[in-house]
Amino acid sequence: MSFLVTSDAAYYPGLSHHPCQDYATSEDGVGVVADGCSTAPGTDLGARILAHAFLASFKSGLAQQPMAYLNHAHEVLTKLKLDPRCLYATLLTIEASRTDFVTIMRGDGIVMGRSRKDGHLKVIIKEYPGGAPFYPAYLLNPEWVSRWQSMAQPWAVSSTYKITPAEVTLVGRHQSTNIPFFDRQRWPYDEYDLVAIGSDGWQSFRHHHQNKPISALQLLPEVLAFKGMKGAFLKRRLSRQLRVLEERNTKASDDLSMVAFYHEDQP
Amino acid sequence: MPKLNQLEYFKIPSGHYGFSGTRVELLGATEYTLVTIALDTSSSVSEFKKDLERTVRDIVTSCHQSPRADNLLIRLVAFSSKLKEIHGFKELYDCTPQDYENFIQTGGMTALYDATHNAVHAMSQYGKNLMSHDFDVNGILFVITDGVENQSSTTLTDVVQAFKDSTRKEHLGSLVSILVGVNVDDADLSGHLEQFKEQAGFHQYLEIQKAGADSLARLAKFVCESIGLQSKALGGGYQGNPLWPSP
Repeated sequence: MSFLVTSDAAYYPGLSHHPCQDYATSEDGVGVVADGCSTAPGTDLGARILAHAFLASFKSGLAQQPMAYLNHAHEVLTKLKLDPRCLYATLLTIEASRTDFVTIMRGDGIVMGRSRKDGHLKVIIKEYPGGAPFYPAYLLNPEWVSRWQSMAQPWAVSSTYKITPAEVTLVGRHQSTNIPFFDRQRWPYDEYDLVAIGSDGWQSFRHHHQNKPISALQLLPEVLAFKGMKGAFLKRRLSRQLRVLEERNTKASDDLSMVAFYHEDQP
Repeated sequence: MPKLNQLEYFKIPSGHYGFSGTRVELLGATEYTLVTIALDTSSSVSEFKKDLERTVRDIVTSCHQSPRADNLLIRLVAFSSKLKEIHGFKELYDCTPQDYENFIQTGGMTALYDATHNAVHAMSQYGKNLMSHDFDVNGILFVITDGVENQSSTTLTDVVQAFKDSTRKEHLGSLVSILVGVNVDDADLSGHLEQFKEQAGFHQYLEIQKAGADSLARLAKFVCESIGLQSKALGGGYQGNPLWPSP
């Protein structure tokens, strides 16, 4: 049986970032979310360069070589005489293979899949308790890796949740100290019809009148309740939902980005 | 032209003629401007029928050049004693200028209220349908006539109510409506159309005293610019209201 995969990408500036340091794009079965570090220079540009360097490497069949896209991005920076720290950005990717979606998280962020069987969401949130994610660009310079390792709490924590209309359940949590913390996850088509990747901005929502944080786990089911899967389905849904949330005085302080892939069997 | 199964048919409450539109699940953009052109095809139009057809072709051709071309859904209605939907809401890339050769069949009287009522209701209803599927939507309506109402089954009150309903937030982000009087060479007719504009609730009344190739070409340019401005207003808060171009 043949199948069709549709994808869309969207990114929005948060309240505290100008310009937007998140970037998201998707094409030809691959999607990328890149979230630039807010304290490094020019990461809005660096996030885009990194994302497109990854896409170019993917199209050249070099996706399995972890340094290929980093070296490519670094070459672009050198030509443009940009500060190499502008590549300090997370990189979450999603690929559509013959049998499943494959996501890889490089840095912090969120990955989620919707069960084909009963519609529940499986959400994986990756965080760095020290507050500074390990950016893949650190691999370009051993000094950057050492500096990161010397920080407090140099490890990552991944939490997996199951969300149903009735409840949110923590189903697993693990801590890792294995640099570079690249978490690869397979999402078989027969189990998941929709898979999305997003930046950590999804954890920055606050109710501004009550000054209380709103969990991404609370927001995501509504955000992913797409009304149709044609064309710019994610942009339509997100722009509508962000307006709805704003009417409820709920806004993200950090930039937001997401890429969603949808699989359907074709007769 | 969209295939039959790409279209969905809708009934209008209290109306005698519904409308059709592209199935919402086939639409891919984030936002759309609904464009309706309601064209008077009563018997008095026969003398400038060819120019009017060229006007519609020019509008479609010009809109194809617009940066907003991917965000337009166009519906064309002809009215005389009865309404005839030439085509329902369909994406601009499904509309080619050749589709608008020899499509006007003149004859009959002027059901101006029916045409306006149907056009406004169709935009509201289709807009509501799109908005419920997360699309951002606004609309622009052109009713082009060379005469006053003399045949409708709906009333002026129905038309006024249709305009009021269209302003509901869940129907359309905004609706710009323009009444165009063509070949209006006597003061009485001009006064009646101006009065209809005020009573019904159109935003603008525009008058062409003598229908001819030049004046209708200017009308085509105006319509296309107005569509572009209204479409740019989507999400931006600016409501298009272009000036009638000078000769």
